[in-house]
Amino acid sequence: MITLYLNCAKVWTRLVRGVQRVLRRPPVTYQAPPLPVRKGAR
Amino acid sequence: MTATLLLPTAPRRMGPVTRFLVLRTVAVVLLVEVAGSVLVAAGGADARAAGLSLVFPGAGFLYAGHPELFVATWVLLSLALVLWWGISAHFGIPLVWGLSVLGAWLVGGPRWHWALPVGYVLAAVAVGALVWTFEARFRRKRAKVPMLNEYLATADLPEPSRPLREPDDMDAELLRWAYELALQPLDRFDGFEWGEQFHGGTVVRYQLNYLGWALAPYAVNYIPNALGQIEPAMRNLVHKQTDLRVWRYWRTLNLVGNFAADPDPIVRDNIMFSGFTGDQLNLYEAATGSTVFDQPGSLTFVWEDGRTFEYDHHSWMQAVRRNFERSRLGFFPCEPGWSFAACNTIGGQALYGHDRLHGTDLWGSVAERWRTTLEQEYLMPDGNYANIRSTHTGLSWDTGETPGGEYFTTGTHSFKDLAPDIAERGRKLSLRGVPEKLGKLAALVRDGDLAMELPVEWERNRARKTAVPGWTKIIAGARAVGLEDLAAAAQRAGDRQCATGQVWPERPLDVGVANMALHMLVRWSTPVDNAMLNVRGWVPPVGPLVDADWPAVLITLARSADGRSLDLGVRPGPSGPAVDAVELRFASLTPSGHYRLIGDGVAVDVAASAEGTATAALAVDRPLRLALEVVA
Repeated sequence: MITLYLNCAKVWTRLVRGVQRVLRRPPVTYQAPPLPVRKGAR
Repeated sequence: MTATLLLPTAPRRMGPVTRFLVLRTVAVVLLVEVAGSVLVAAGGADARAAGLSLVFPGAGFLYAGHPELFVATWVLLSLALVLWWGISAHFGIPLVWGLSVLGAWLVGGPRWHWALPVGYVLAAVAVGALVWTFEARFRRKRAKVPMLNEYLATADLPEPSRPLREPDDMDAELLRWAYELALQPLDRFDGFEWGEQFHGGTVVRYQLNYLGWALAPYAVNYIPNALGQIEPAMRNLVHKQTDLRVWRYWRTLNLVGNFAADPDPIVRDNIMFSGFTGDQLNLYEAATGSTVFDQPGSLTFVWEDGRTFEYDHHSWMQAVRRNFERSRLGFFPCEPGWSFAACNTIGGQALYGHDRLHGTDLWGSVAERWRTTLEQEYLMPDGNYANIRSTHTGLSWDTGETPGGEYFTTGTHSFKDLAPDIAERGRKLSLRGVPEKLGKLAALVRDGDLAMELPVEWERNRARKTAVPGWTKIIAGARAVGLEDLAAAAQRAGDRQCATGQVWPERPLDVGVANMALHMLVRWSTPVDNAMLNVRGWVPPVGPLVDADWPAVLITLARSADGRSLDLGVRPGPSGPAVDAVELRFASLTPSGHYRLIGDGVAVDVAASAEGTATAALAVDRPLRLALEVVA
């Protein structure tokens, strides 16, 4: 195992929270997102 | 007593498959270095800049007099590294590296010739640092082997405590919360934590897994004779896994990581879904006896365009087995290109459990290879296993998901079902020094009370700070070393510190859904835990059975110690206290037998029919601890 001085899990969480902030979405909600709209059946 | 499995005295740096992958990676990097050096040596100024960026990412920008672009390259490389792990963007690092080559070629500018030796020095330092961290860690761990083997050969750990608990008020609150969460309509997820669905604390599939895993020991240990309420709750938790919002993340991962557009979440990789939910399926069947998911098409995924992917318990597990069999490493990926020891252990548990329930030999066909992979590819000299390995490069590092990126045991059953000898070694290693540490904490328990609070810490999704995981660890650790008084006191102290007094869709403990479910799992896994349940399979209950209508009544306890009487705990369900009498329905009584339901001010005669059934009307307006006893 090599050592990389970067905590991927922490950076990921902060990255996600940053993206959500830009998109004006809460990073955690207690309501499910709406069901995706069905595209044309194949 | 069997001797504990010892650690290899001459451990290898890496197993054969990992060595091949790492050497292949080294060969590719060497090729890049040679190509870069050729450009540096033979090219003009622009080619030399590009070549230097091949030697060390972004170094060509230094040669071209653009240090800001060098810094930008390394910021982007760090981002690419995180996205490599996060969404399997394997192309990220090569892409950024390549862009730094192209950019250095095109950017022009003054020539800083000092950058040429600096580029080579940086490359040498980077490679040297990686080799040194690997070698230093390996040697540090290898040096411990004689001491650890001495410990393994001589340590005599206390047996774990496995009390048969009486459910308390918090158990009832947690059970009620879990039922309300699970029994809402299948397409509703009120109270679940939603956020990104790739990694970490907002992933709903894991919340569903953990809740299913937690309810299984509750069913077995507390209400084996009243499965009517918990069975649909556990069933719904599985059905919810087929909701498109839960599994559609896979299409993105498959596209990014495998360049494959197939949305089917079971057929390839994705063991963190197929293995985890496979394990959940087994535990559901082993705890409730229901074979509903054995029916063809009972687990059907419907994609956005109407395509369906039909599975059942058996075909699901066949897919997991096929993934194991076609994996070069022996462990198959979660996210494309990343094989986790934890997920592959849970995937193994899934095959094992299916075999126990159905008499198949899925696990047998992969068991030997699984063990070889675990012991040769993932085992480190000190008995830890690497959490993660890239199936493309063979590299492992601490990604921040688990302390140190390694663990002595993993899976949810700590190898107890898959490899008992490895489990015992891992147990000893992980509990080294724990009896002494927890013994000091146990000394603080006075009259069953642990008068302390734990500091709160951020949850992984950073939604809140909580002390619950800390308490969960103490309870689990205390039970693991037989300190049941401490475990019980810690449980009460944790409840005292963390109880919110709230009900679904809020949470009865001040913690997120995933960590609450893991707390419930630990809390309820006694005397039977899920490893024992996976080995045991389904065993029908003996003695009287009972059922009552949810949500009027919550049954918290229903078990028979002697096969004739019944210990029963009931309390008002979420629809409120039943001042009017509600019906308790009994079955499996002695035909035409006479019983008496007594306790907490209740005394009701119960006469069984010729079929061994009976009903009793009762006002469940408060928690009632009852006993159904045979009248002689």
